[in-house]
Amino acid sequence: MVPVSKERNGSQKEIVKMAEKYELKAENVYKYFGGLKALDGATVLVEKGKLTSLIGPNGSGKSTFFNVITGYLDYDEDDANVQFQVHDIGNDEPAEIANKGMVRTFQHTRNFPKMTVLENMLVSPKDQAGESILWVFLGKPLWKRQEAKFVVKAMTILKFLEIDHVVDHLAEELSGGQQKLLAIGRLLMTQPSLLLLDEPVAGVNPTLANKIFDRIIQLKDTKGIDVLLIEHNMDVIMAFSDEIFVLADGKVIAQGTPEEIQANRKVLDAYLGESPDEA
Amino acid sequence: MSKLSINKILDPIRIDYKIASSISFAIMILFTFAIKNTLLAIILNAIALVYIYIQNDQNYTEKTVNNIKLLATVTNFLLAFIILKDTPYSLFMVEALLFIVFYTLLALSLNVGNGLTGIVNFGVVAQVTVGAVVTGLLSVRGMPIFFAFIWGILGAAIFSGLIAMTTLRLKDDYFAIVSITIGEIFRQFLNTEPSLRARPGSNKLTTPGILDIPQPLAGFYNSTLINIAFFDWMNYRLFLGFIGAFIVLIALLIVNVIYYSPYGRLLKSIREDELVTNVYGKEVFKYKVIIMMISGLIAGAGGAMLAWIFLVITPENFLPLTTFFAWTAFIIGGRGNNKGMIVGSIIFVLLQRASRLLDNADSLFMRGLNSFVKFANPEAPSVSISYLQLIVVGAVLILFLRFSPRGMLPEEAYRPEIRGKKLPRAGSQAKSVQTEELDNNAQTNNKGDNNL
Repeated sequence: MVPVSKERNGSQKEIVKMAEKYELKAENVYKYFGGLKALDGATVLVEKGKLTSLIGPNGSGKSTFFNVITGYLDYDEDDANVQFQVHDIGNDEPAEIANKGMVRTFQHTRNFPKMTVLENMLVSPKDQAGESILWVFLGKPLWKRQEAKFVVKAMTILKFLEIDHVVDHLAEELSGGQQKLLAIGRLLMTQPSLLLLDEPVAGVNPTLANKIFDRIIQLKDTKGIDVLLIEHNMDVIMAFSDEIFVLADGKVIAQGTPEEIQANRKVLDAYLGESPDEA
Repeated sequence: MSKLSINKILDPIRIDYKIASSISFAIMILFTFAIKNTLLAIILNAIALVYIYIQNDQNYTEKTVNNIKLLATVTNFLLAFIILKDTPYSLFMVEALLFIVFYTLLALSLNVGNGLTGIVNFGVVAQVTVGAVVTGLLSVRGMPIFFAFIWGILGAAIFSGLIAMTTLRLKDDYFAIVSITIGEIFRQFLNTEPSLRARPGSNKLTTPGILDIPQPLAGFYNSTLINIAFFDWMNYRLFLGFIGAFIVLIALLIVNVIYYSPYGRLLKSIREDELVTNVYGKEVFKYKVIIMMISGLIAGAGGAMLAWIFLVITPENFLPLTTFFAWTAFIIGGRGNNKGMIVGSIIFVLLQRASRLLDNADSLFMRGLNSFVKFANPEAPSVSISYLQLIVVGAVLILFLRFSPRGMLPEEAYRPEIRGKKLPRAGSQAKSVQTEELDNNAQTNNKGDNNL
């Protein structure tokens, strides 16, 4: 199914070679919650320039997979091999992983509700001079200048996401769809190279869902930002994805283009239960 | 408080905020100098102040409204101060000023910790204790007061940093419990540690505490420079109040710089959702420890102030009650608003201490209260009203939490400007025009710059 390299740490040459093709390579990821095997050796590869989706029935371990590879949960077996670009991120803290360019959203949209949209946007950029207590007092002109640049950038992104008209509202005042766009906007402020989006269009009406996906595709094509996303909305998944991984009971049971996945018997079984004639 | 029905009643006579505050001062001055009835003046003035507070005028930004409220409250307090100077109440007002300074420092410390960063710190009194003990001990042992003060606040900051490093990984409520405990542990420590007892050499070794703490600038004050200069009614307590007000001003400046910087914004985001802040590669824990140290710095200054107010430090000065009083001032003022801390402390201290004014066995109120108690239980001793202050403070705290959880001066959103142009305000009419200007701005700025 998926080629799994046996060596935990390949040679430097191999790593670079892999990094040329794959943005993210997460092999043999295990996670147990007590006796429950949430992830049972899942392997997901994100190729450069392809929109990769992760689908699967509820409880199949998709969000757990995100939490594990972004460092929020620990790996349960040692065979995991997680490589992002040329970095081995298997033992990194969430903040370190984010600083390398892999950022994520959460399944339930999480913004900073009591802050304005612009404030929300300005939190995320990396290396802000004004985020060091010494520079706050000693280098005001410096961070003021930087701040002005970030504000302009934030406005550009908000315009791109078509939520610039609510720039001065508190985040909690936005509609659900706008909040999801804001969460994506904050990720874009960090100049990421890989976005992990956890259900970007859950609970969003079809028109807006298509719009959000249009934006994601546009980002991928024009800015070279790769995307790995979890989604339950099959219409948009099948319409926009280049590559789909299907997760069930912690294992990847199928991988391929939308057409291949739609024709795959195993996937149907995973979603609807095994068909009686096979049982 | 904006949706009170009294607003509708007042609607036909809707007066401008600024006019209302001017009228309030006018009433005050008129009654005092023309009619010479200070109490009536203060009551009428209070009514005018209440009017300022319940007004909800859409024409002004949140910030303007808050500034007017601050200005009205502070100037009214100072006016009352001047008006009452020759009356028996003047001592009351001076003591109130000293405690307003003390609680403003504590509330500011809480505002940095909780209002900005969301740390539920119930250990303010521990930070205060360190500040007071270090300042008091060092100056009693002969160190110049200024340096003792610096060591005091630094000691409180380092202490807070150590506490934060060891316990701040706990979640909100658990940290709150631990911080209460730390304050209590420290008080017991003060109770039993021999070196913290009365000065060595004296025979008062049985009394816990530090005695005869020198006060700041006492020599300067006694050199009569100020006495001759302008205030014939100046006494040292009042002078101490001004020193305290100066410290508050400096603390306020420092906190304000943090507040309106990217640093403050980051802290706010930690308050809102720590996990999300972490996603963007920010080391949340480091920021929390530093902010605990800064809050310790300010609370430590409050501690030094306490040492100077009482001249004596005993463990009884550091009961957990102080923490809850500070929280009350903080909540009344409006969490997340630095200016609110001044207003909150003024309101809290006046409320808490006003009951003492009634503590006169001959007053109508006391006679009424005592006859009521005697009616209920003929053998009961006559009551002292000082106990009422706890009831009043508790009731006010509950009322605020229920009806106005954002406090007197609600938090203002941070709205940066682009090249001097203000961003469109929520609900403003000229929104679209301003946004267009902004867009042009953005385009000129973006040339040759990959912005995403």
